[in-house]
Amino acid sequence: MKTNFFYRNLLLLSLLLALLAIDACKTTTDPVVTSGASISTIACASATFSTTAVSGATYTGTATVPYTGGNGVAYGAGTAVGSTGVTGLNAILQAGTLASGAGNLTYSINGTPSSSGIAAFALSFGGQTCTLSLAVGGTSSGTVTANSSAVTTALSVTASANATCNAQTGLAKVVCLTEAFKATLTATQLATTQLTYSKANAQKWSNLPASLSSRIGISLGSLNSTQLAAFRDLMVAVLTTGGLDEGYDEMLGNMVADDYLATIGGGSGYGAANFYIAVLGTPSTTGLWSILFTGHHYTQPFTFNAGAVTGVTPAFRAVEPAAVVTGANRSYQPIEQERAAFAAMLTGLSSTEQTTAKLSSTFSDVVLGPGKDGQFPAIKAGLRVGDLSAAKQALVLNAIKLYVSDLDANTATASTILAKYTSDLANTYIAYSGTTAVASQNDYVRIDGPGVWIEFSYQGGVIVRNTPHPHSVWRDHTGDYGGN
Amino acid sequence: MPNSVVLLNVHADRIDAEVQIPLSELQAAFGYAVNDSSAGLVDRLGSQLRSYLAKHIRPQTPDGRYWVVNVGALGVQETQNAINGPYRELTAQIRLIPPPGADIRRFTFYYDVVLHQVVTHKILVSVRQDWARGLLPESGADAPLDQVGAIELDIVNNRILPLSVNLATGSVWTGFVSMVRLGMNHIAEGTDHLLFLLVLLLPAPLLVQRKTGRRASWGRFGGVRYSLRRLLLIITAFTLGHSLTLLAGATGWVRLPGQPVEMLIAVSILVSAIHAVRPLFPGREVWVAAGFGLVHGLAFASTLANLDLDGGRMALSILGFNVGIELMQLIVIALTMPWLILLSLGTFYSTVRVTGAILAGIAALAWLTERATGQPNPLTVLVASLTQFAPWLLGALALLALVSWWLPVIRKPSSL
Repeated sequence: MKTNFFYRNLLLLSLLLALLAIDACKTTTDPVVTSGASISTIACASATFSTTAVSGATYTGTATVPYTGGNGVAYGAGTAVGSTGVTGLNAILQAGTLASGAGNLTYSINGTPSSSGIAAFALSFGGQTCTLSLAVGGTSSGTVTANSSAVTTALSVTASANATCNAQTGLAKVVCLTEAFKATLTATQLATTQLTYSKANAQKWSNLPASLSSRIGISLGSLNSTQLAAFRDLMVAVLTTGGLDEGYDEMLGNMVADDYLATIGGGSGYGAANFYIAVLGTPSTTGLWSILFTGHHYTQPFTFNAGAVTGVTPAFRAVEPAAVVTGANRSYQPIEQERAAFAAMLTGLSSTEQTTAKLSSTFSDVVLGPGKDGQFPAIKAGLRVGDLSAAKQALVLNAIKLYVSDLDANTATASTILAKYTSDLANTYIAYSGTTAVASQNDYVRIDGPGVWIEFSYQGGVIVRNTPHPHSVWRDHTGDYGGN
Repeated sequence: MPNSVVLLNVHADRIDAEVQIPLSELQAAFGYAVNDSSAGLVDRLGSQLRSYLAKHIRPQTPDGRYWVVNVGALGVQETQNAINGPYRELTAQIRLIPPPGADIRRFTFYYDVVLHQVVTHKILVSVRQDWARGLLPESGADAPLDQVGAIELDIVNNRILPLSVNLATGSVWTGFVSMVRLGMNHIAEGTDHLLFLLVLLLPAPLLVQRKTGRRASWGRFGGVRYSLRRLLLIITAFTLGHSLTLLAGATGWVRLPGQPVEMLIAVSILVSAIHAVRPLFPGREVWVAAGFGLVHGLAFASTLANLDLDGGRMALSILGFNVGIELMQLIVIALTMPWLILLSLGTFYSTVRVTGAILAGIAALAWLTERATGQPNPLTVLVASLTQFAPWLLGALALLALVSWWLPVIRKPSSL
C-alpha cells in the first residue's frame, strides 16, 4: 500500500511538472524551450561541427556548442533557427539535460546552403545568446591529402633541364624538345613512344583509367627522373605555365588527384604512372605529326602540319575528386575554375534566357566523349550568344578561355584559336540541364559554336562514391585531330 | 555511368527478357528518388515501376503490330563493374509475346526506359538463351553473350531509334545437339556424380565372401564375365533411376529444393564408399544404384527446369540431356573400368579399393558439410582444383594397374 501511495504521488508530481513546462512554453517568446534551464556562458566560437558544408549540397550535421554554469535541469528540443548570411540552413536544439557546470548543447543542422561563405545562427539558451558560424565551402571544397607519386613529384619541378632548345621559339622549339625527350629513351622505350601518324592511333584516347582502356605510347611510370624531366620540358612548351590550376598546372593537379584515387581504393590502375605520351609521326616543322598525352581524366593532343598547329582537340578535362587535393608540394583543384565559370555564365542569364538555354533532357555524362568523333548535333540547341548583352557574352568567352588558354603562347596556339572562337561567338549557342549552380549531380553545360564544342558534366562519383565529379570535353567541329 | 542490360531468353512462342537498370540513371528519368532510398523499393513503388516499364518497352512486328508486354518480378540488387565501381540496379523480368502469326525472331524493339529522359544512357541488348540456336546460359554470368545491338541517342539527329532485331533462325536439331552437349558437360564437370559412379563400381568385379559368424567382406576377383554383368546392371539401374526423376523434375511434376537433393547426393557417395570398404548391401547394389539414381536425377532436372522450356522442346531437351549424360558415363566407364578390372586381378587391389573409398568418403563428408552450411571448406576447394588433373589421375590409375599386373611376373623368379 505504501508503494502504491508513492507512485500516485509521483504521477501527480510529474503531471504538475508537465503543466508547468507547458506554461513556461506559453509565456516565453524565446524559440528555445528552456523551462528553468540556465547557463552562465555559451561559447559559439568553440563550437564544433560533425561535417563540413558545401554550397548547393544538402547538409545534414550537428553542431556541438560548449557552455558553462549549467544548472542540471532537463530541456526540450528547440524550434528551427534559420541561418543568415549564407541562407538555407536551419539549426534545431536537441533535447537533453544540462550538466551541473560545463557541458555541451547539441544542435542538428539541416538544409542546403545557398552559397559559399558564413552561415550564421543566432542562438539563445538559458539566458545566454551567441552567434554560431558555419563555414560553407565552394562546391566540394573539402580538402583531401594525396600521397604524390614519384611521377608527380618529379613533374612538379619548375626549372628546365634543357638549355639547348630554350633558345629556340615556336614550333622549332617543340620539335627540339620532343627530340630531346626521345633522346633520353632507350631503344625499346623509343619504339614504344615513336609511332606512325594515323587517325586510328590519334583516336586511342579515353576517359577511363589506362588499365580499363589501353593507351598507346609510353607510360610515365616507366620513365626515370632524367626522362621525366625531359617530358616536363616538352609539356611546359605546349601548355601554359604560371597559372594556378590552368595549363601545365591543371595537368599536374589532375595527375595528383589520380594518385589520390590510387590510394583510396582505385588501385594501381590509377595514378600518374598510368598516363601515356606518344609521338605520332616524325617531329618536324614541315610535316604532319602529333603529340598525344592521355591518362584517366586528362587527354591533350597536339597535331602539327606544315609548320603550324592544326589541332588541339579532342581534349578531355575531368577530375575526381572534385575537392581540393594536396600533393607534389601544392594544393590543386584543377577543374574548379571551369565549373565556377560555367555557373557564372548561367547564373548571369535572365530567367527568360535561362528558359531558352535549358534542355529538357538529362545528361549523366558528356555526349561527345571518347569514340564519338564527328557526331556533332546537326541543330544547335539552347540560347544564341549573339542575342545576349556584351557582359553576358564575356561570361561565355571566359568559360571558353579556361580551355583554350591551357595552351602555350609559344606557338601562338591559344591566341589563334581564341580569336576564331571570339569571332564565332555570336553564332555560338549555350545550353544546360539541371541547375545553373553547376554543383549537383547531372548538372550539364554545353557550348556549341561553328568551331567550338565544350561540354561539362557534373556526374556521380566512382571511386569517391556519392560525391559528384566533373567531366568535360573540348572538341572542334573542324579541328579535331587537326582536321584529319 | 553504368548502362542498362536487356537479356533475351528466346522461346518458341515468347521471349522472356531480364532487364537490368542502374538506379542512379533510373532516378533521373523516373521521377522518384529510387537510388537515394532503394530499401523496400519494389514494395513502395512496384506498381509505378511496372507501368513505367510497360510504357517504355514496346516490341513491334515489322508490319506495325505491338507485342503483349507483361512486367513480372522486380528486384533490387547491388552489382559492380571495373568502370563504374559498385552500384545498385533494378532487375525486371519481362515477358514479351508476339501477336498471333508474328515471327518471334524479327521485330522492331522500341525500348527507351531511362533513355527517353537521360540521353547519355545506353542499353545493351543480348540473347542469353536461344534453344533453337543452341545458346544456353548454363555457364552463368561469365558466358559470352550473343549481342544483338545497342539502343542509344542518335546524337547528330537528336533522336532515339528503335533497335531492329533479326535473330538467325535455329533448328530443332541444333537445340537437341546442344542439349546432348549440355548433358555430357554436366557429367564431365559434375565431380560428385562421377565419384558416386566410380565408387559404386570399385567393388563390382569382386565376389562377396561370407564366413559363418563373421560379417561379409569383399573377396577375390569374380571373373571378367561376372564383372561386366554386374557393371552393366548397376549402370542400367542408375540410368533408369535418374531418367525417371529427370523426367518428373524437368516437366515440373516433382520439384524439390536444391539443398536437400545436393546433400543426399553427398550421402549417396558416402554410402557407396562404405560399401566399397565392406559390403553393406551385397547383391542389392542394383536397387541401391536405382535408388540413388532417383536422387541424382533430381539434380539433373534442376538444370533443365531452369531453362524454363515448354512442351516439345522440353521433351527433346530431356531426351538430349539424358543421351549426353549416358554418353559421358559410358566414356568414363570405358576409360576407367579396364584398369579397375586389371587391378582387381593383382595383389594390392584391396589397398587401392579401400584407399579410394576412404578418399571418396572424406570428399563426400566435405561436400555434405559444404552443402549443409552453404560455406565452401578447404577440402571441397581442393577437390574442385583436383578435377583439372583428371587425365593425370587416370594415367596414374593405368600405371598402377600395369604395375600390379607385372609385379607378380617380376617377382616369380626371385620366389623360386
